[in-house]
Amino acid sequence: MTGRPQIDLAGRLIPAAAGLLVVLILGLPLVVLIYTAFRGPGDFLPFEDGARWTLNNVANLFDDPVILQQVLPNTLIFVAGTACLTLTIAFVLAWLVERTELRGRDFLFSLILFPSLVPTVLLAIAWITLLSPNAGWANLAIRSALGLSQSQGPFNLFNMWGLIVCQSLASTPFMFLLLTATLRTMNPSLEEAAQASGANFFQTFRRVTIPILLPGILAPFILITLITLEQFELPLIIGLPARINVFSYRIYNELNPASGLPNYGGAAAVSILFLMLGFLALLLYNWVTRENAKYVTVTGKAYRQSRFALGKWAIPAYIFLGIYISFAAVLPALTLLWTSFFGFRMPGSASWADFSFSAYLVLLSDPTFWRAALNTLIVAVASGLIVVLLATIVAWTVTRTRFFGRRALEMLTFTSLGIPSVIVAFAVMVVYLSLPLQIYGTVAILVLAYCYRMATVTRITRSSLIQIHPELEEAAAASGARWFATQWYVLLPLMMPSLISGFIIMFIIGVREFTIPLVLYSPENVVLSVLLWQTFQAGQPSVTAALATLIIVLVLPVIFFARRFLSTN
Amino acid sequence: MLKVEGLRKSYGAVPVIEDVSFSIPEGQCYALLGPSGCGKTTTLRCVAGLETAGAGRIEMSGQVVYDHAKGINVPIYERPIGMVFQSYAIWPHMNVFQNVAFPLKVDRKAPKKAEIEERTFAALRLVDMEAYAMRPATALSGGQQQRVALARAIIRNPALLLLDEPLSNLDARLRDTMRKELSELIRRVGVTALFVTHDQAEAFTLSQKMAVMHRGRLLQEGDPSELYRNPVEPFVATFLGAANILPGRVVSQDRIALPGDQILRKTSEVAEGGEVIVILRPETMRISQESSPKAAGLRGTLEYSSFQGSSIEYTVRIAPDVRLRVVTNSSREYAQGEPVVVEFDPESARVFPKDGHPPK
Ligand SMILES: Nc1ncnc2c1ncn2[C@@H]1O[C@H](COP(=O)(O)OP(=O)(O)OP(=O)(O)O)[C@@H](O)[C@H]1O
Ligand SMILES: [Mg+2]
Repeated sequence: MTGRPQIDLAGRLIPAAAGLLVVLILGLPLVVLIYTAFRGPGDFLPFEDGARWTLNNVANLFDDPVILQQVLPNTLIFVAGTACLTLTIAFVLAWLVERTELRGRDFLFSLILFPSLVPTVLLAIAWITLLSPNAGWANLAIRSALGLSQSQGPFNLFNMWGLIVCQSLASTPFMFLLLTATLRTMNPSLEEAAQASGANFFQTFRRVTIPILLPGILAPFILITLITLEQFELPLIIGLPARINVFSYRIYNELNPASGLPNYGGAAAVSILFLMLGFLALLLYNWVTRENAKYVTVTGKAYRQSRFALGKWAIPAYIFLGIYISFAAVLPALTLLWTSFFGFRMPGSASWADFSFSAYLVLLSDPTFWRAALNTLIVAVASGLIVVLLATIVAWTVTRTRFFGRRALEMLTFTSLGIPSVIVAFAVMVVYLSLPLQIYGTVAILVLAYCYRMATVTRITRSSLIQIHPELEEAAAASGARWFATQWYVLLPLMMPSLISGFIIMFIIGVREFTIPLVLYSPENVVLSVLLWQTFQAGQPSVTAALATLIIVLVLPVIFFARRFLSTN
Repeated sequence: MLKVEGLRKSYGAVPVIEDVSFSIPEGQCYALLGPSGCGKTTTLRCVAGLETAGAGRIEMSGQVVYDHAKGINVPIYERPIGMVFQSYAIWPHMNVFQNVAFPLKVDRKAPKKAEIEERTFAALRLVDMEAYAMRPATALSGGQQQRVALARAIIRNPALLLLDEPLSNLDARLRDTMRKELSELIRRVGVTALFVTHDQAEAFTLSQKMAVMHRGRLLQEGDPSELYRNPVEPFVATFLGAANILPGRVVSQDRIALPGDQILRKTSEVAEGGEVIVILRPETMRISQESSPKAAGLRGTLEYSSFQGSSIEYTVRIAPDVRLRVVTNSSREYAQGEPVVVEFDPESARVFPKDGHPPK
């Protein structure tokens, strides 16, 4: 601590407490998870009487034919396919929106984000309604239009391709946001220089734009790989009927087997295998983004971009946009809205006599719905507030002090990016089943588990802090302000826009979250996304659709100011 | 008022300031002058309490605020200081009034609202910014920001005002006017001030006493004219203004051989045969056609002359690779290549041993 100004007691206690909390929230579950992998027998909790040290869980992993012949190859194909397809779709969209004279860009920008604002379960339900091989509306319509007599197809959602396409549609907004940021910070004079040297549009694009953007594309590509690895909703809803078994489902299955007892040790062993894959991707990400710094294009400064006139390419461009937006936003929303009033009778075969509000009445008179709504709100707001607070203090500690352990803290928050939510939920479950805390099955455990997404916000708070000149804080100290007054009157107000962005992002993540509340489900802590899945499973299409419609109405306002806060980060 | 003794500080193994001691009497303005990276800011920040030194003692207004040996280290917010930062550090989310009132607002014994208002306006009046009180801080020019920073620094009536390169953020023309204004303001407030700068003109105008700093050490301390006239080290001489540096060798007790086999008659304390450095200021020399008996003279050829308005700057070659810069206001014009004599008072020439310590 020598060499720095003295920080008063509050200035040391508060960061220390925050650091401790972060270690508890992020670190403890991970440690317990590793511990669990080496405890057996599998149906015993690691600290339970009767559990002992064992290597069986790990050994079983290597002679399990399902893991080697199904889970690994399926996961690999799913992840690689999704990452590539997402990158392609998102890059074209980002480029069209940022670099061409497309009309209605702001509106399109908001529509493109739609899948990232609603729970993926909701999209999956809409896609199944539209594209399931037997009764999917699109299939029915095409079959009747072409007079086909077969009872299936032409589209089939329930195979690897269907899964990859659906997952890509759902993941595109995330990638799109990252790529628009990259495109915006690219120095346009580099392209202009190529054009001034006589290169035409395609030569410029291939020889200048792509090579310059490569590092800025590689980093999001690794992130999307990591994020696909942890996807659970679509593998569960679309992958399972298609007998596609990826690792996130495998862990879930170990914990909720069709018959018999949960196998904690087995689940932990599988988790560790995939954690290692995740960390590998993280290391790669770290390495790539470090290389990034060398490129002059990634200055963080937004340039005034020149836009290309689309000319004769306008029609294909609008068709591409139209297809994406139809399948990712408009059709799912309309399908659910229609179903909520007309049930499964598809447009064309229904009459006004079928119209009914009854699904909404059923839903609104169900206390479970109100509990789920309230729980969703509590969990999303509470985890948002906690994460923003902790992330701010952690970022301050890392950028502004030389406190002991600050690097480790930074590492820990960064590493948490690579931990899939199934594993988070499982680890949190084991910790709080073992601790005598009585929070298992409550909303509180969800809040703790949701806080795992802290890394998203530390990135925002960190970059905001880096942009604030330290002399602004020193001036407060030199004016006689103590630590807390300095943070309260100077730093927090300056960081406020980033803190609000961070909170809104956490809120959206909280509303969308499905995996964690499903794994940690109890009747008491049910949230909207889980309720949606349950009503769908229970075969209540119009109630499901009514619930989905309400969720969409809830997030719709966010869409319209989404661009302001999402595009800056 | 301020007493700094034996201050040391290093970052890791790299010493940044070494054994810095100085003191400032009540009401005086003291300048630390030195090239970039010499440790000025670090010294100032140690005094402020923004950095903790590794050894030494700091006392202000009779209170020991730092004593390494006794383990005393008063935190910055309890030291009786006001500080003007290099970037001014005006908080962009507050207006001018809120910026200046801040030190009163966070005071443990915060005065009443009416008093805060009154004192804030008084401070703003002092820097002539009363009319801008409600302006957002982001809508100020550089000079205005500087005044606000100053008002904020003096509003608590600090015992010591610290300024880090207070003018370096302004453009050259504004710097000239603000230099005088700042000097007058500090005198009017009557506060003891310590400021650091790398611009000797700033130090000359603003300070009653100054010290030249180099590589973490204070080389010399004194009032500005004394430092200028009697530098004790070649570095001080060259840093405080343009200087000609000539290599020489002592040939006898009162003779020094200069390049081009020329002799300077001047006694030095260096032993016969010793290598020396002779420093001549351009403005202490004249150019003529032949040497007068009283002055020392160096013969050479005029290589170049450049008209500067109030003066003329000549470049005279006195040996194949040795040139002198001479600045005079002489009216006679010399032609290029003309043989001339550069005259000066031997007393104005400073002689230092080549590699050794300054003469005592
Ligand atoms: N946090 C730090 N860590 C390591 N070295 C530092 C740090 N801060 C300053 N230094 C080094 O200490 C030396 C003195 O720095 P200081 O800021 O005091 O210089 P200065 O005299 O104010 O220079 P300038 O005129 O450029 O402001 C420099 O060589 C600098 O590189
Ligand atoms: Mg400095």
